[in-house]
Amino acid sequence: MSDEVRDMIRSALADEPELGVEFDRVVQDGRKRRARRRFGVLSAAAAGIVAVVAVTFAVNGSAGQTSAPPADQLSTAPTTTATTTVAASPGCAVPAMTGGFPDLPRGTATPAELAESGRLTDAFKQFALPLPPGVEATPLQLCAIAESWGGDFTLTGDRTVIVYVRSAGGQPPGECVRYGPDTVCSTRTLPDGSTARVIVEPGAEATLVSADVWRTDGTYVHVMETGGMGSTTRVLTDDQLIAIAAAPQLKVQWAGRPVPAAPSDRRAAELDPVLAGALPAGLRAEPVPGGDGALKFRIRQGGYRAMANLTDAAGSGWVMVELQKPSDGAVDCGGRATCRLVDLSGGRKAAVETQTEGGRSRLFLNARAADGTWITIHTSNVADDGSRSDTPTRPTVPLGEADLIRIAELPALHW
Amino acid sequence: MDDRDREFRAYFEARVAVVRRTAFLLCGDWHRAEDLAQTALAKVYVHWGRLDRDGRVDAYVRKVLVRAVIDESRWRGRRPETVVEAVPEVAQASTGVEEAMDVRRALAALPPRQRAAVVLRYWEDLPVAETAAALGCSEGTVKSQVSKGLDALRRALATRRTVLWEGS
Repeated sequence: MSDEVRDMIRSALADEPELGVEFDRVVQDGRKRRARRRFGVLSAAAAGIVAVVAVTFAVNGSAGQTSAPPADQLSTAPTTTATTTVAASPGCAVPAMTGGFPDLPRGTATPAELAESGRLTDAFKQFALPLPPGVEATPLQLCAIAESWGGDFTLTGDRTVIVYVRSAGGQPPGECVRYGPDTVCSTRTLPDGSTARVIVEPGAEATLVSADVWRTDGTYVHVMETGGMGSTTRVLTDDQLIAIAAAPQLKVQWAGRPVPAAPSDRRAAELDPVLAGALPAGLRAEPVPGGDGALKFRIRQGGYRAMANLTDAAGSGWVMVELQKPSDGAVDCGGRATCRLVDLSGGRKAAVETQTEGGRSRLFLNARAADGTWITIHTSNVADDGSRSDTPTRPTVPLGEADLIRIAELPALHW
Repeated sequence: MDDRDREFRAYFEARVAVVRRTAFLLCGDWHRAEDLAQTALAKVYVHWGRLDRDGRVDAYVRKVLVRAVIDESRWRGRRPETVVEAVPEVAQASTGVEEAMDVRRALAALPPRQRAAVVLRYWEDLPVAETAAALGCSEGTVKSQVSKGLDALRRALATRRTVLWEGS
């Protein structure tokens, strides 16, 4: 019967068109996603619908500079204030499949989001991009993501600039993050009090540089320049990227939701001592190969992550503790038979799941801290010895359910 | 091109057509299948070192595809096409493409999880346990979903003359 069903299914492929998936496009998409994940970005997972609406809106516009002024002269306030009613560009929604933005694109947008998309796109047309001589840029369309807007334009020289805007949502200005030894990070205060952060990540494949500006007008703007394979030469300077992020035309007219603080090296260091003393007596925490230290928190994929090998007389195992930013939602098991909900203090719940396969055992706990931080604790009986082996290194997981619960209930373990 | 990209390229060239076909069977639209395949492979690129090391690249791709299709069906809350019960009055010539449409329609009429279970079990030829892992459910659930899915397919294809109907 299996062959019969398979043949039947195969018949559905009768009119298979020529393959259109290109390696270079996939790698470019993958590279953007990889870069974005390091900046705390999620990627999307489903196809989307682009909805369009024509709107009329009031736009606070101003003529932009023809070249970037030094950052110490920048301001997010319009240089001329003229309220003009214009027919905005049609709004658009970022398709849900699109990766590379800090939010998960819904693929659809509300009429209000579409209106803001059209308004921002039109407003940005009034901004004269600060470009080096001889460099040209394609137009930017800012499409709705999820109460946020984004798009990209390409520059002469195989470079792409991604622009993302949203309401600051009360988020405090971000602090420096160093993703690796070569990362260069700096922050500065702009004349109007806005805070700018520039992060440069040189790499053999491509150089990534981003400018984030937490603006005093209540808008957060993220501008990132990246490039294709082997594109390591920047086109825009720090000041030019900041000038784009500070463009008055990018002010969002949207109340937005409260946004938690961006992850920082400082907070990671504050979290380091939290796990000390949380391990059962007799269990020794050791750094994993290539790691920064046993149970030391680092920023990974937009959250804080600590790992260690745990050793006692029974052998070595492994543990990872991860915090993701506070957000809405409830802990659940997603219908998985191997998972069950347990009660934590303060009326909180945790989902505990056990997986056993080929002698490998894994125990997961997912919970939310009182402030909404998502906590994930994962332990296994396979130590990370750097050999890439998946062979059990002890009979059972080094931490039991009670241990994981105790860690999840640590009062200081939160964003 | 560094070693990482070279290794990924070898995987890409070997699997891209297969990934797109599976994506198509899950979503029923070649354009979306291209998007799904590109996204799944881009995600593989992101995690290439770990996935390649663990030898779980294909499993990861399947998971990405299945989740994407199921998630999409949740937020859309509707299917783009609907199978109608009645057969058309005018007899239709049976061509390969038409049969393909029939099967496609029948697959599209299945709830997303049921469709994924059938495709993974009978197209990807996955064991029940691996199908369960890709779907994030128990093996018993896979068995019942596959059974119901096959029954529905048989019923839908009994006449081999379903008609296309653009639903809302």
